[in-house]
Amino acid sequence: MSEHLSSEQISHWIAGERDTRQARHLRECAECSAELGRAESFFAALGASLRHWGDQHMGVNYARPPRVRLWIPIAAALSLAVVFTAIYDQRPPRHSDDALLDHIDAALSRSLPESIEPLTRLLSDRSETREP
Amino acid sequence: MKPVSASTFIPAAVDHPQIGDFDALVRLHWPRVYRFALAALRDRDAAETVAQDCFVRAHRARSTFRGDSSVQTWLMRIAVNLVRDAARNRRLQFWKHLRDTSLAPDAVSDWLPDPEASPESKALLKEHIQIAWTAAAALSAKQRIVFLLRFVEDMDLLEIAAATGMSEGAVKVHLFRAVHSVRKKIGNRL
Repeated sequence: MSEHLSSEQISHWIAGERDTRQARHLRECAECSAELGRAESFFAALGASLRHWGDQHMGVNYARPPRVRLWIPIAAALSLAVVFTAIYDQRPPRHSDDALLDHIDAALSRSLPESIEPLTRLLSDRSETREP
Repeated sequence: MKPVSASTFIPAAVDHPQIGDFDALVRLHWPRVYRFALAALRDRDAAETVAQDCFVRAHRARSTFRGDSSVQTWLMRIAVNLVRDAARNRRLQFWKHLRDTSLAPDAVSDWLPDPEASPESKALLKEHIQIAWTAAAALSAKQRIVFLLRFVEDMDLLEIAAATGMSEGAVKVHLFRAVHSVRKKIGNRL
Protein backbone atom coordinates (compact mmCIF):
# COMPACT_ATOMS: atom_id res chain seq x y z
CA MET A 1 0.00 0.00 0.00
CA SER A 2 1.97 2.93 -1.30
CA GLU A 3 -0.70 5.65 -1.46
CA HIS A 4 -1.37 7.78 1.57
CA LEU A 5 -4.42 7.07 3.65
CA SER A 6 -7.41 9.17 2.70
CA SER A 7 -9.16 11.39 5.22
CA GLU A 8 -12.02 8.88 5.31
CA GLN A 9 -9.66 5.99 6.02
CA ILE A 10 -8.17 7.92 8.92
CA SER A 11 -11.67 8.60 10.28
CA HIS A 12 -12.48 4.88 9.93
CA TRP A 13 -9.29 4.06 11.82
CA ILE A 14 -10.23 6.42 14.65
CA ALA A 15 -13.70 4.87 14.74
CA GLY A 16 -12.17 1.43 15.23
CA GLU A 17 -12.42 0.08 11.67
CA ARG A 18 -8.87 -1.11 11.03
CA ASP A 19 -7.12 -3.55 8.75
CA THR A 20 -3.61 -4.95 8.54
CA ARG A 21 -2.71 -3.13 5.29
CA GLN A 22 -3.52 0.24 6.85
CA ALA A 23 -1.64 -0.74 9.98
CA ARG A 24 1.45 -1.58 7.90
CA HIS A 25 1.17 1.67 5.96
CA LEU A 26 0.91 3.69 9.16
CA ARG A 27 4.07 2.04 10.48
CA GLU A 28 5.94 2.94 7.29
CA CYS A 29 4.51 6.37 6.39
CA ALA A 30 5.56 9.19 8.69
CA GLU A 31 3.13 11.63 7.06
CA CYS A 32 0.02 9.49 7.56
CA SER A 33 1.20 8.49 11.00
CA ALA A 34 1.59 12.16 11.95
CA GLU A 35 -1.86 13.02 10.56
CA LEU A 36 -3.46 10.20 12.54
CA GLY A 37 -1.51 11.24 15.65
CA ARG A 38 -2.78 14.83 15.35
CA ALA A 39 -6.37 13.69 14.94
CA GLU A 40 -6.19 11.23 17.85
CA SER A 41 -4.55 13.84 20.09
CA PHE A 42 -7.27 16.30 19.20
CA PHE A 43 -10.11 13.92 20.10
CA ALA A 44 -8.35 13.06 23.35
CA ALA A 45 -8.02 16.78 24.16
CA LEU A 46 -11.66 17.37 23.23
CA GLY A 47 -12.73 14.59 25.59
CA ALA A 48 -10.58 15.95 28.42
CA SER A 49 -11.97 19.47 27.96
CA LEU A 50 -15.55 18.22 27.93
CA ARG A 51 -14.98 16.09 31.03
CA HIS A 52 -13.55 19.08 32.87
CA TRP A 53 -16.39 21.30 31.66
CA GLY A 54 -19.00 18.75 32.75
CA ASP A 55 -17.43 18.31 36.18
CA GLN A 56 -17.33 22.07 36.68
CA HIS A 57 -21.01 22.43 35.82
CA MET A 58 -21.89 19.67 38.22
CA GLY A 59 -20.31 21.71 41.02
CA VAL A 60 -22.09 24.86 39.95
CA ASN A 61 -25.38 23.02 39.68
CA TYR A 62 -25.32 21.86 43.26
CA ALA A 63 -23.99 25.13 44.66
CA ARG A 64 -26.70 27.32 43.16
CA PRO A 65 -30.31 26.80 42.17
CA PRO A 66 -31.03 27.17 38.47
CA ARG A 67 -31.49 30.75 37.32
CA VAL A 68 -34.99 31.71 36.39
CA ARG A 69 -35.41 34.54 33.94
CA LEU A 70 -36.46 37.41 36.16
CA TRP A 71 -38.40 39.26 33.53
CA ILE A 72 -41.08 36.57 33.46
CA PRO A 73 -42.40 36.95 37.06
CA ILE A 74 -41.84 40.73 36.99
CA ALA A 75 -43.80 41.12 33.74
CA ALA A 76 -46.58 38.89 35.11
CA ALA A 77 -46.81 40.93 38.34
CA LEU A 78 -46.88 44.25 36.44
CA SER A 79 -49.57 42.97 34.07
CA LEU A 80 -51.75 41.89 36.98
CA ALA A 81 -51.20 45.24 38.71
CA VAL A 82 -52.25 47.16 35.57
CA VAL A 83 -55.36 45.00 35.11
CA PHE A 84 -56.44 45.38 38.75
CA THR A 85 -55.83 49.14 38.66
CA ALA A 86 -57.95 49.49 35.51
CA ILE A 87 -60.79 47.46 37.02
CA TYR A 88 -60.67 49.43 40.27
CA ASP A 89 -60.74 52.81 38.46
CA GLN A 90 -63.85 51.85 36.49
CA ARG A 91 -65.89 51.21 39.66
CA PRO A 92 -68.01 54.24 40.81
CA PRO A 93 -67.00 55.76 44.16
CA ARG A 94 -68.84 54.01 46.99
CA HIS A 95 -69.84 57.25 48.80
CA SER A 96 -71.38 59.12 45.79
CA ASP A 97 -74.99 58.09 46.61
CA ASP A 98 -74.68 59.16 50.26
CA ALA A 99 -73.19 62.48 49.26
CA LEU A 100 -76.01 63.15 46.82
CA LEU A 101 -78.65 62.36 49.45
CA ASP A 102 -76.90 64.62 52.00
CA HIS A 103 -76.86 67.42 49.43
CA ILE A 104 -80.62 66.99 48.76
CA ASP A 105 -81.39 66.91 52.48
CA ALA A 106 -79.44 70.11 52.99
CA ALA A 107 -81.29 71.82 50.16
CA LEU A 108 -84.68 70.77 51.48
CA SER A 109 -83.96 71.83 55.03
CA ARG A 110 -82.96 75.32 53.98
CA SER A 111 -85.54 77.97 54.91
CA LEU A 112 -84.20 80.34 52.26
CA PRO A 113 -82.74 79.75 48.83
CA GLU A 114 -78.99 79.25 48.76
CA SER A 115 -78.38 82.52 46.87
CA ILE A 116 -79.90 84.60 49.70
CA GLU A 117 -77.92 82.99 52.48
CA PRO A 118 -75.07 85.60 52.40
CA LEU A 119 -77.64 88.36 53.09
CA THR A 120 -79.05 86.56 56.10
CA ARG A 121 -75.49 86.16 57.43
CA LEU A 122 -74.99 89.92 57.02
CA LEU A 123 -78.17 90.62 58.95
CA SER A 124 -77.25 88.28 61.73
CA ASP A 125 -73.75 89.89 61.94
CA ARG A 126 -75.36 93.28 62.40
CA SER A 127 -77.69 92.00 65.04
CA GLU A 128 -74.78 90.49 66.96
CA THR A 129 -72.83 93.85 66.96
CA ARG A 130 -75.86 95.86 68.03
CA GLU A 131 -75.67 96.88 71.64
CA PRO A 132 -78.52 95.71 73.79
CA MET B 1 -36.36 -33.86 38.33
CA LYS B 2 -34.55 -30.79 37.11
CA PRO B 3 -31.19 -29.97 38.74
CA VAL B 4 -31.35 -26.98 41.04
CA SER B 5 -28.73 -24.30 40.38
CA ALA B 6 -27.20 -22.17 43.08
CA SER B 7 -29.01 -19.11 41.74
CA THR B 8 -32.36 -20.76 42.52
CA PHE B 9 -31.63 -20.28 46.18
CA ILE B 10 -31.00 -16.57 45.82
CA PRO B 11 -34.22 -14.67 46.46
CA ALA B 12 -35.17 -12.14 43.79
CA ALA B 13 -34.99 -9.27 46.26
CA VAL B 14 -31.30 -9.80 46.96
CA ASP B 15 -29.17 -7.33 45.04
CA HIS B 16 -26.28 -8.46 42.89
CA PRO B 17 -22.94 -8.14 44.73
CA GLN B 18 -21.79 -5.58 42.12
CA ILE B 19 -24.58 -3.25 43.26
CA GLY B 20 -23.91 -3.57 46.97
CA ASP B 21 -24.59 -0.35 48.88
CA PHE B 22 -26.87 1.66 46.58
CA ASP B 23 -25.92 5.01 48.16
CA ALA B 24 -22.28 4.31 47.45
CA LEU B 25 -23.16 3.31 43.90
CA VAL B 26 -24.94 6.65 43.36
CA ARG B 27 -21.99 8.59 44.76
CA LEU B 28 -19.59 6.72 42.51
CA HIS B 29 -21.51 6.85 39.24
CA TRP B 30 -23.56 10.05 39.51
CA PRO B 31 -20.82 12.31 38.06
CA ARG B 32 -20.41 10.20 34.95
CA VAL B 33 -24.13 9.84 34.27
CA TYR B 34 -24.73 13.55 34.88
CA ARG B 35 -21.77 14.59 32.72
CA PHE B 36 -22.89 12.39 29.83
CA ALA B 37 -26.44 13.76 30.01
CA LEU B 38 -25.11 17.32 30.21
CA ALA B 39 -22.87 16.88 27.17
CA ALA B 40 -25.70 15.22 25.22
CA LEU B 41 -28.51 17.65 26.14
CA ARG B 42 -26.47 20.80 26.95
CA ASP B 43 -28.93 21.80 29.64
CA ARG B 44 -28.25 21.58 33.39
CA ASP B 45 -31.86 20.98 34.47
CA ALA B 46 -32.43 18.33 31.82
CA ALA B 47 -29.15 16.62 32.76
CA GLU B 48 -30.05 16.60 36.44
CA THR B 49 -33.49 15.17 35.66
CA VAL B 50 -31.94 12.43 33.54
CA ALA B 51 -29.40 11.58 36.26
CA GLN B 52 -32.10 11.42 38.95
CA ASP B 53 -34.40 9.30 36.79
CA CYS B 54 -31.52 7.04 35.90
CA PHE B 55 -30.81 6.19 39.54
CA VAL B 56 -34.49 5.92 40.45
CA ARG B 57 -34.98 3.40 37.64
CA ALA B 58 -31.80 1.57 38.56
CA HIS B 59 -32.97 1.33 42.16
CA ARG B 60 -36.34 -0.07 41.10
CA ALA B 61 -34.72 -2.56 38.72
CA ARG B 62 -31.72 -3.48 40.88
CA SER B 63 -33.08 -6.95 41.60
CA THR B 64 -33.09 -7.69 37.86
CA PHE B 65 -29.40 -6.81 37.40
CA ARG B 66 -27.67 -10.10 36.64
CA GLY B 67 -24.11 -8.87 36.25
CA ASP B 68 -23.83 -9.68 32.53
CA SER B 69 -22.32 -6.26 32.05
CA SER B 70 -20.64 -3.92 34.52
CA VAL B 71 -22.81 -1.72 36.73
CA GLN B 72 -21.43 1.28 34.89
CA THR B 73 -22.52 -0.06 31.49
CA TRP B 74 -25.93 -0.97 32.93
CA LEU B 75 -26.37 2.57 34.30
CA MET B 76 -25.16 4.14 31.07
CA ARG B 77 -27.70 2.08 29.14
CA ILE B 78 -30.49 3.51 31.31
CA ALA B 79 -29.02 7.00 30.89
CA VAL B 80 -28.75 6.62 27.09
CA ASN B 81 -32.45 5.71 26.88
CA LEU B 82 -33.40 8.64 29.08
CA VAL B 83 -31.28 11.03 27.04
CA ARG B 84 -32.98 9.81 23.85
CA ASP B 85 -36.40 10.34 25.44
CA ALA B 86 -35.44 13.78 26.73
CA ALA B 87 -34.10 14.85 23.34
CA ARG B 88 -37.39 13.81 21.77
CA ASN B 89 -39.52 15.43 24.41
CA ARG B 90 -41.05 18.60 22.99
CA ARG B 91 -42.35 19.72 26.36
CA LEU B 92 -38.78 19.93 27.55
CA GLN B 93 -38.00 22.21 24.63
CA PHE B 94 -40.88 24.46 25.70
CA TRP B 95 -39.73 24.67 29.31
CA LYS B 96 -36.19 25.20 28.17
CA HIS B 97 -37.26 28.57 26.80
CA LEU B 98 -38.57 29.64 30.20
CA ARG B 99 -35.68 28.50 32.35
CA ASP B 100 -32.25 29.75 31.49
CA THR B 101 -30.29 26.61 32.30
CA SER B 102 -28.83 26.04 28.87
CA LEU B 103 -25.07 26.33 28.72
CA ALA B 104 -22.85 28.88 27.04
CA PRO B 105 -21.20 27.15 24.08
CA ASP B 106 -17.83 28.86 24.47
CA ALA B 107 -17.25 27.45 27.97
CA VAL B 108 -16.30 24.00 26.69
CA SER B 109 -12.91 25.22 25.56
CA ASP B 110 -12.14 27.28 28.67
CA TRP B 111 -9.96 24.52 30.07
CA LEU B 112 -7.31 22.82 27.93
CA PRO B 113 -5.48 19.66 28.96
CA ASP B 114 -1.95 20.85 28.13
CA PRO B 115 -0.96 23.87 30.23
CA GLU B 116 2.59 23.78 28.84
CA ALA B 117 1.49 24.36 25.23
CA SER B 118 2.40 27.60 23.48
CA PRO B 119 -0.23 30.36 23.34
CA GLU B 120 -0.59 29.76 19.58
CA SER B 121 -1.21 26.02 20.06
CA LYS B 122 -3.70 26.74 22.83
CA ALA B 123 -5.55 29.26 20.69
CA LEU B 124 -5.69 26.80 17.80
CA LEU B 125 -6.87 23.94 20.00
CA LYS B 126 -9.49 26.17 21.58
CA GLU B 127 -10.77 27.12 18.14
CA HIS B 128 -10.89 23.46 17.04
CA ILE B 129 -12.75 22.43 20.21
CA GLN B 130 -15.31 25.15 19.56
CA ILE B 131 -15.81 23.95 16.00
CA ALA B 132 -16.07 20.31 17.12
CA TRP B 133 -18.60 21.21 19.84
CA THR B 134 -20.74 23.09 17.33
CA ALA B 135 -20.41 20.26 14.81
CA ALA B 136 -21.42 17.69 17.46
CA ALA B 137 -24.71 19.53 17.96
CA ALA B 138 -25.57 18.95 14.32
CA LEU B 139 -24.97 15.17 14.49
CA SER B 140 -27.87 12.74 14.62
CA ALA B 141 -28.87 11.58 18.12
CA LYS B 142 -27.24 8.18 17.65
CA GLN B 143 -24.02 9.64 16.27
CA ARG B 144 -23.82 12.19 19.08
CA ILE B 145 -24.41 9.61 21.81
CA VAL B 146 -21.80 7.23 20.38
CA PHE B 147 -19.34 10.10 19.90
CA LEU B 148 -19.74 11.31 23.51
CA LEU B 149 -19.52 7.82 24.99
CA ARG B 150 -16.33 7.16 23.02
CA PHE B 151 -14.44 10.41 23.54
CA VAL B 152 -15.91 11.98 26.68
CA GLU B 153 -16.66 8.83 28.69
CA ASP B 154 -13.73 6.97 27.17
CA MET B 155 -15.75 3.78 26.63
CA ASP B 156 -14.57 1.13 24.18
CA LEU B 157 -16.67 -0.08 21.27
CA LEU B 158 -18.07 -3.13 23.06
CA GLU B 159 -19.08 -1.07 26.10
CA ILE B 160 -20.77 1.45 23.80
CA ALA B 161 -22.56 -1.38 22.00
CA ALA B 162 -23.82 -2.72 25.34
CA ALA B 163 -24.87 0.74 26.56
CA THR B 164 -26.70 1.70 23.36
CA GLY B 165 -28.11 -1.69 22.41
CA MET B 166 -26.41 -1.49 19.00
CA SER B 167 -24.14 -4.05 17.40
CA GLU B 168 -20.43 -3.32 17.43
CA GLY B 169 -20.59 -2.81 13.67
CA ALA B 170 -23.38 -0.26 14.01
CA VAL B 171 -21.37 1.58 16.67
CA LYS B 172 -18.40 1.77 14.29
CA VAL B 173 -20.58 3.14 11.49
CA HIS B 174 -22.12 5.86 13.69
CA LEU B 175 -18.77 6.71 15.21
CA PHE B 176 -17.13 6.95 11.78
CA ARG B 177 -19.84 9.33 10.57
CA ALA B 178 -19.50 11.46 13.67
CA VAL B 179 -15.70 11.57 13.57
CA HIS B 180 -15.56 12.29 9.86
CA SER B 181 -18.21 14.98 10.11
CA VAL B 182 -16.35 16.75 12.92
CA ARG B 183 -13.01 16.45 11.11
CA LYS B 184 -14.52 17.88 7.93
CA LYS B 185 -15.84 20.88 9.86
CA ILE B 186 -12.40 21.53 11.25
CA GLY B 187 -11.07 21.20 7.71
CA ASN B 188 -7.65 20.15 6.57
CA ARG B 189 -6.11 21.67 9.70
CA LEU B 190 -6.72 18.34 11.47
